[in-house]
Amino acid sequence: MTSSVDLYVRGNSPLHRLDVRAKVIALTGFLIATILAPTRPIWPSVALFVMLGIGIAVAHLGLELVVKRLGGLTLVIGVPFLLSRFGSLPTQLAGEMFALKSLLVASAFLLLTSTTRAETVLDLAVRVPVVGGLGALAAFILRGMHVLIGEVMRTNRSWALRAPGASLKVKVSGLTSASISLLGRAAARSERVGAAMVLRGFDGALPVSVADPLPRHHLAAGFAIAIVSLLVGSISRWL
Amino acid sequence: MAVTSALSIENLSYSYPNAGTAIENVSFSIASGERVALLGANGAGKSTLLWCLVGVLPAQGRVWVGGTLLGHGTEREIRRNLALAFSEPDDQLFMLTVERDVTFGPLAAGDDLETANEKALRAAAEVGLRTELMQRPPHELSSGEKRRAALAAILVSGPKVLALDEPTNSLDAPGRQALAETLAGLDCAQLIATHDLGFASQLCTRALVMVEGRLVDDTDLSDLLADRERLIQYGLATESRA
Repeated sequence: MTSSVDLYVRGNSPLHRLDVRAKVIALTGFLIATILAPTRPIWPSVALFVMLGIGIAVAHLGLELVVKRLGGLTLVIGVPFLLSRFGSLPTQLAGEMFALKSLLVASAFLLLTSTTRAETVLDLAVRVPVVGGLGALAAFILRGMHVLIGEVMRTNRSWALRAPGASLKVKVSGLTSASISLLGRAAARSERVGAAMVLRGFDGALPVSVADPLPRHHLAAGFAIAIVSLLVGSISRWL
Repeated sequence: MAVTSALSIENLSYSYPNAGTAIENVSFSIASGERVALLGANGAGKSTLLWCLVGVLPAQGRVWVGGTLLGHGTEREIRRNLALAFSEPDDQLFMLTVERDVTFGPLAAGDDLETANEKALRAAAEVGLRTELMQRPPHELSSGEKRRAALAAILVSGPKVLALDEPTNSLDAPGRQALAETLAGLDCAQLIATHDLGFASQLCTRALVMVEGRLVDDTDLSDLLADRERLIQYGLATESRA
């Protein structure tokens, strides 16, 4: 992990290099395939998992990271699934469907977020003229979050070093002071950032530019993944 | 006051609200391509002076950049021609990727994306910023890389004067050396506000010294560095030789 806010894992695999718009096309196809895939027979869903597994291997994400990130979903997916086993056949089928599709969707988003910087997605949004203003706003918020999280982490470290074993009263007092201090620092920094923008020609309107054209081979790769997913997810319906 | 200098200021004064005088009657000129060190102890008014030069702080007195007098309606032109590098690059890099940050100025000035990208690559090359860093978020860069990215972001507009506020902050020795080499390779006039006398002596032959908001010396830097008594008097060195 290299980023403090998003889930990006630094790498240079083909999936890391694939244009984010191609990834969105592929993900859309995969999500539709997940919806189309029947719960029984199970093999279309298994085939979709295999596709994800190939993607995870290509991206060099490692099993440990995948298990760690999906581990948080164990309760959310596992408990309803286990409870459904005590119900009627339709309840059991619904439980299986929920578990399979939730895992597929979560794994697909894991693959996307692990190989794509949040900044890249937001940067793309900034370049779309219609939503450019909103995208730019989101971009500034994310950048601000990076800075603020850095400040919070440094303040926490300072706190832990200077007040080991402090009483609750001292901790509450310290936390209050630290929060106010952080707000003050955030305000001062926002003034300096505002000055930096004005000095470089900012006049209240953010410069919005149209994105570069999506390279054909990236577009083809995105559609290929989407089409294969759709075939895998729906083929049992045609057999 | 010669208005053909790269930068000329005349009787510049500024007081922070409720905090007394920060700079008082400061006047000097810098020739095109000249590199001048602005020296002074903490709180001497160096940073305030730089903020006044670009019109962020509304000072009394006159500032010319090239032949343009800073005033209502000329701020944009002044800021295109006089770029200020902040002491903290983190305050100066506000976009999601380095590339977006460096292209911000040209896009804001109305350039199309292709032109802005070309200018950004040229600016990056000028300051030795590796092109693979252009797609990275600024917070992932090292201190030295951030410094280069911030420099590229302000040099991209082709300023005639570059003002730098404590440029060696948080740089290690190789980083300082690399920055000195980069600055030495730039054509524009430079006003370098710093405590780092070694860094200043690498780049500048002339020094302006500020004490408590006033310009107290305009001198040859090597003469100043050889005069320990004056350095101590200006708060640039201490009595101890340890």
